[in-house]
Amino acid sequence: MSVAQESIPAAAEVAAPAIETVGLTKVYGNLTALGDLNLSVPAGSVFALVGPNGAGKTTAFSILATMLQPTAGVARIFGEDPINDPMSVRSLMGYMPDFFGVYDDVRVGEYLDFFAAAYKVPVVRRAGLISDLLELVDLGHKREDFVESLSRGMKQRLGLARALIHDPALLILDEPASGLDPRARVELREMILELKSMNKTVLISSHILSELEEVCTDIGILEAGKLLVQGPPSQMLAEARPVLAYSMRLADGYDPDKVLKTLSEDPSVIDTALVEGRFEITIGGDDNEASDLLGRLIKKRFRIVEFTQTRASLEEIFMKTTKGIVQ
Amino acid sequence: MSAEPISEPIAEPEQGGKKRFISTFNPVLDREIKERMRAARSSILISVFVGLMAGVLYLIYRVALEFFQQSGIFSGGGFTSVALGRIMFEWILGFLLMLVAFIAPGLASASISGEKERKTLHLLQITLLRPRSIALGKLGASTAFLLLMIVAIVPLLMVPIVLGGVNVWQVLKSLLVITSFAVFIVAMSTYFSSVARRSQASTVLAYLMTFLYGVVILGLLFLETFVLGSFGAEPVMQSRPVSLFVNPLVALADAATDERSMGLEVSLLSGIAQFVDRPNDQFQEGAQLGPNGEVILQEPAEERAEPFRLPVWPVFVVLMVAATALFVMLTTLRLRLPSPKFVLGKTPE
Repeated sequence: MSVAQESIPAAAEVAAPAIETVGLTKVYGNLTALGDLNLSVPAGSVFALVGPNGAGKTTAFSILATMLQPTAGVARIFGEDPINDPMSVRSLMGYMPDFFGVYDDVRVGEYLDFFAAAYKVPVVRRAGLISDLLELVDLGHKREDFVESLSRGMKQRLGLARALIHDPALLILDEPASGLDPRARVELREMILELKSMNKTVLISSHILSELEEVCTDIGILEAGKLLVQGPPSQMLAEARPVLAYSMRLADGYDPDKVLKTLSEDPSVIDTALVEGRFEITIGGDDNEASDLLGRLIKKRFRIVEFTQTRASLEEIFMKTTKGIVQ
Repeated sequence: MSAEPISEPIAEPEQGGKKRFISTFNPVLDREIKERMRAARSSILISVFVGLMAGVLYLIYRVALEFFQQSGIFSGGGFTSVALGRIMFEWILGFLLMLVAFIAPGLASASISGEKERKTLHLLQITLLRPRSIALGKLGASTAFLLLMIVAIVPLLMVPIVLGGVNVWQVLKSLLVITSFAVFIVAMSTYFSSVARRSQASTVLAYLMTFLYGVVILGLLFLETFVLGSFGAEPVMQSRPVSLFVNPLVALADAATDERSMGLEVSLLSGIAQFVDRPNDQFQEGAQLGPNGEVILQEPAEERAEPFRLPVWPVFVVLMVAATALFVMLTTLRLRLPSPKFVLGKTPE
C-alpha cells in the first residue's frame, strides 16, 4: 500500500496514466469538497474510487467529466486538459451518472441514435454500432421499447451503452450499482469485466466494496476530500494483514479446550480463538508453516472438516483506513 | 491510448432500414421535434388552437355584419364584403398575436429546466455538441411548433383575402411580424429556462417577463404620447417615438394596413395605425370601393409633401431578431461547461 502522494511517479514509470490529477481542489464557500487530490489511474485499469458519502467522489468525477471547474490543481485525461480543452476530453471519455434521466416518448434505439449524433458518430456507422452496443448490454430485444418503460437495471445498462456510443478509451461510472437488484449487480459486474477485456480504462465509484474487489485492478480510498491510500487491491490486502489467518472447523464431538490448548502450544501459532464453532488461527510464517501445522493436527487425530485461509477484505481495509469523517 | 472499436464502420441502412422520422443538422432539434410531435397534447393543442381561431373568426364576422347593418354606413353588396374582410383580417391577426404571446412562454419555458429536472441536461452538455447548438436546438423546436400553429391558421386568413380588402403582401408582412415576436418570446423564455432549476420557476419567470414587456411598452407609449407629448406643439407620433418600434401591436398595424385602409376605425389595426401613423388625417364617411376591391376612404384633394418616417414593422422585425440573438447568446453562456458551480443538483454537503 502506498501513500497517494508517492503513487504518481510510481505509476508514471509503468505507463502513461489515463487520468492524472495534481493538487486537485474544489471549495464551495466554507466547504472543501475536494482537497489536494493527487490521483493516477493507469491506462487499461479498472480503478475504484471508494469513500463514504460526502467524501468528494462525485465532485472529483464532475471535474474529470468536464462539468466542474476546480478551485485549484490540474487534471489530465490521456494528456488532455478537461478544463481548458473539454471537447478533446469528451471525445475520449464516456460518463455514466448514478441517476439515469430519461426523455419522454423516446425509444431505446432512438435514444442511442440521438447520443451518437451528439457525439458526431458518422451516420453510416450508427445502426451497426447501436446494434452492437445493445447486444453488449443485453438490450437487443428492447430496441423498439420506450426508455421510460425499462427497469432500473436496464436503464443503467442503457446508460452504459450511451457512455460507450463514441467508443471512448475511458469510462467514468459514478455509483453504477446504486439501486440495482442483486441480479442486475452481477450483470453490471460482468459488463465491467468485459470492458476491461476491451482494454478500456474504467474509473468507478461504489459503496459495494465486495463487488469492486472482484473487478478492480486499482483502488483509491477518499475521505473528507482527501485521497488516503491508492494501489492494487492485492497489495493493499497483503499489507493490511501481514500474517496468515486460517479458519478451522472440526467434526462434532471434539473438546474445545483440548483443541485450543493444542493450538496455542504449537510453535507456529501466534494466536487462536473459537468463534461460532470455528477456530480462528493466526500463523507466524508462510504457507509451509500452515501446511506443517495441518499435518501435525491430523497426526493428533483431530477430525478436520475444513481448513481455510481467510483474507482481509476491502471492507476491512476501508474501515481501517477511514475515520468516518463526513463533511 | 485507443481502445478496440466496438463496431466496424460498415455502411448500413439506418435503424434497420427504417426511414428516419426527421433529420436536421441539429440532433437536439431532431429529438425535440420528435418528442413534441409524439405527445398527444401537441395534436390536441393545435386542434384546439385552430378551432378557437375559426370560432373567433366567425364571431368577428357576425359582429361586424351586425354592426354594418345597424349603423347603415355601408349599403351592402361588394363594398360590405370588402369591409368585412378587412375587419376579420385585422381582428384575427390581433387575436393571433395575443394568443401567440400567451402560448410561446409555455412552449419554451421548460425546455432546459425540464432537462435539469430529469437530470439529462449535463449528459447533453458533455457530448461533442456546442452549447450554441443546444440553445439553437431548443429554440428551434419551440419555434417550429409555434410556426406550425401559425401555418395551421393560414387557411383561415384566406377568408378575408377572398372577401377582399387584404392583399397577400399584407398577410406575409403581418405573419412575419407575429413570427419575429413569437421567436423573441421563445428565445427569452428559453433563456429563463436555462437560468432556473425548476420548470415551475422558469415558467413563472417567462410569463412574468412577457407580461412586464407588455407593461413596459404600454407605459412607454403612454409616457411618450400623453406626458412628453403634452409639451410639444407637434403630435408625438409624428416624430416616431421609441415605443412604436418595440410594440408588436403597432408593428402589426403598420404591416397589416396601408393608407387606403386607414379609415376603418372600427377595425383594430387600422384604428391603431390611424392613431399612430396618420393622426392628422381626417376620417371621411362615404368611402368607396377601388378598382381592385380595396377600400378607398378619402381621396386627397391635393398631394401633400410628407416628411420621411421610418417604417415601424421592418424596424420591429430587426429589433426582435437582434433581441433573439442576444437571448440565444446568453443561453449559450449559461449552457457552457465546465462551470464553477456544481451542475448535478444541490452542491455536495
